[in-house]
Amino acid sequence: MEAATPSQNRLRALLEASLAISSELSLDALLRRLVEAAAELTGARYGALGVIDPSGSQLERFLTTGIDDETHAAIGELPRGRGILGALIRDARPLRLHDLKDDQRSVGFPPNHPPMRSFLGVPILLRGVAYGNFYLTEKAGDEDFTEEDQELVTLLAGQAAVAIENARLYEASQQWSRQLESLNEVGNALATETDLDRLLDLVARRLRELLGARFVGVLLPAGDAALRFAAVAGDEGVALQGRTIPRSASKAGRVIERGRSERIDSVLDDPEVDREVSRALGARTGLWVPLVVRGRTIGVIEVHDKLGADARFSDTDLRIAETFATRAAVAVDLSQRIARDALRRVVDAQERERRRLARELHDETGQALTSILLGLRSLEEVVQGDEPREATAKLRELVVATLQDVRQLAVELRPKVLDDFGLVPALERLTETFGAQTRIDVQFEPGLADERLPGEVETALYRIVQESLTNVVKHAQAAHVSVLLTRRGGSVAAVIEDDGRGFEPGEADGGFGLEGMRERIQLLDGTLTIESAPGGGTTLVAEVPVR
Amino acid sequence: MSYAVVWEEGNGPVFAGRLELRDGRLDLIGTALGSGPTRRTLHFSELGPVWVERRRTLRLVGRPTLVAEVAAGPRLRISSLDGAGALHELAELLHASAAA
Repeated sequence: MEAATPSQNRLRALLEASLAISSELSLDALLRRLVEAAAELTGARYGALGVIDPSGSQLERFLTTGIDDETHAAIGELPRGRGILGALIRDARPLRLHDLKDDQRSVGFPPNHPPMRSFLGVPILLRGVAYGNFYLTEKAGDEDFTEEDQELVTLLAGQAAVAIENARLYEASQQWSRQLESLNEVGNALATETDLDRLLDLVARRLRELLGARFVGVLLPAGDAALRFAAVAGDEGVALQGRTIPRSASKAGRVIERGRSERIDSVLDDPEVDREVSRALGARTGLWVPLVVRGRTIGVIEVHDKLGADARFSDTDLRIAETFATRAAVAVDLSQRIARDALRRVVDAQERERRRLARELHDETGQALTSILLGLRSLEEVVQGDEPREATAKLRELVVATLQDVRQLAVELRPKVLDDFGLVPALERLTETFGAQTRIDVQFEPGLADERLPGEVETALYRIVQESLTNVVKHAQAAHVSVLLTRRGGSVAAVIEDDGRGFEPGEADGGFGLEGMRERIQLLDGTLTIESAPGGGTTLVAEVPVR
Repeated sequence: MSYAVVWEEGNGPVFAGRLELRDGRLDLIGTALGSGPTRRTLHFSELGPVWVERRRTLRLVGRPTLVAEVAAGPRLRISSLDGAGALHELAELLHASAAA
């Protein structure tokens, strides 16, 4: 039998390698077969295959042949892609060297590394994209690698490129499938959760899991000028729960304004990012995604720092966050509407109950007491003797006091004048009584003449003025208060201003009842704004659109 | 816990402000016409009998009052501006706090 030529041997080795490749399922095993085949076909003592990470800057995998485990352990950490290896990453062209150490780009070998001289580097390319490199050294017989070696390895590199790309596509499709599954799961969870706090908490936690992020916060408007962290996920961000940030000086505020997402690779370099928040979190990167429902931005999701070596978020992350935000926005809007409807029902029921009680007291109890009073007067005229007359007089005084209390109670529950004559006369009476009882000078300026407003608007503004005046007594230590009703285009506003001690707006807590007032005014699509400063008095403006 | 109130000690000026119930004491914080801010603290141990007075002559700003005898001082009268039921709630809390 005739002996095979070196070319025939190489062809056979190449064919065997190709067959082996088509039978391998695992990417690592396949790449190892390829590097072994490359070393065998070129007569290299050592071979390696480096896979460049998706960022294109360093090696994510490094497979070798010819180096035993003991030597591997002695060398230590695998190369990251500097020196000659780095040169091939940056410039994806084949490279043949007689002696590695003679090349000026060489950075030498780490301790315990076997000596290597001749070198062949071949990029793993597919459609112009570099996926990695083959590195072969120490050709048998102290020879240099040849043009033919280079061609053979280029052929194997093509197969390696297809395998790596397929693996990445498969991995990406698997990941996207997992994420879609999670999105569906979250979508179902969101659809069944109507409690707003629990819903927001779910949104923050699940998005953090989906993106593998260090922090996720959900910000909702808190008044016209601020945003509040309504939910947070991530250990470092717990302290931010409930905290407010200014709309105008934060990236979240700008994203709400623009209504489109933003991805920032370095928060330090972006002047719009709220420094206080990013410092508190130690944030490096960020994603901001608006919560948009029917063209209206109702909040924003803020995400910081991808977990892992690279803290930057990818386009895919942004796409996931946007898909998630679309679903979350619908759920948040629905939950807010349910909460508002519930509040509206409670407020309506409360006012209805107050109106009934006030009417009962005024029309029934008050009338009965008036009749008793008239009867006692008649009795007083006919009764004989000092003692019975004195007892009758005492009874009459008691009935007069009780009648006064009953009328006052009826007015406090729900002033009849509000229903019968409207907001202006009701506030005239309220401010007069307030001034008489507290000795605080009150000026009322009714800017509405005799105009009647919708019932729910009149009630809301009356209650807000009432609550504001109570706040003035309790907290302001003011000498003067003014209450102004005014028309502003298609809306009506009540402005309550005092010259009291004021407060830092951020310090106004639940004790001031501001949240309740704000909720009440929001039921009518109105706004509540408060301007105050220590020593500078307080101005509260409640504005409601009137259709 | 705080209430919007007006108060008077003996025949002194009528103050408007808030009453805060604290551990072992009550604080009255407010102003009177023509005077600056004031703060009056009364420990429950200083208080004698406390009751709600409805007679017209003992009312404050025309409203029923909570009357408290003070051991070393004039009688204290307090009226609530917080609406229906607040005065009785305050009376109950004062009784409970003083007894605790």
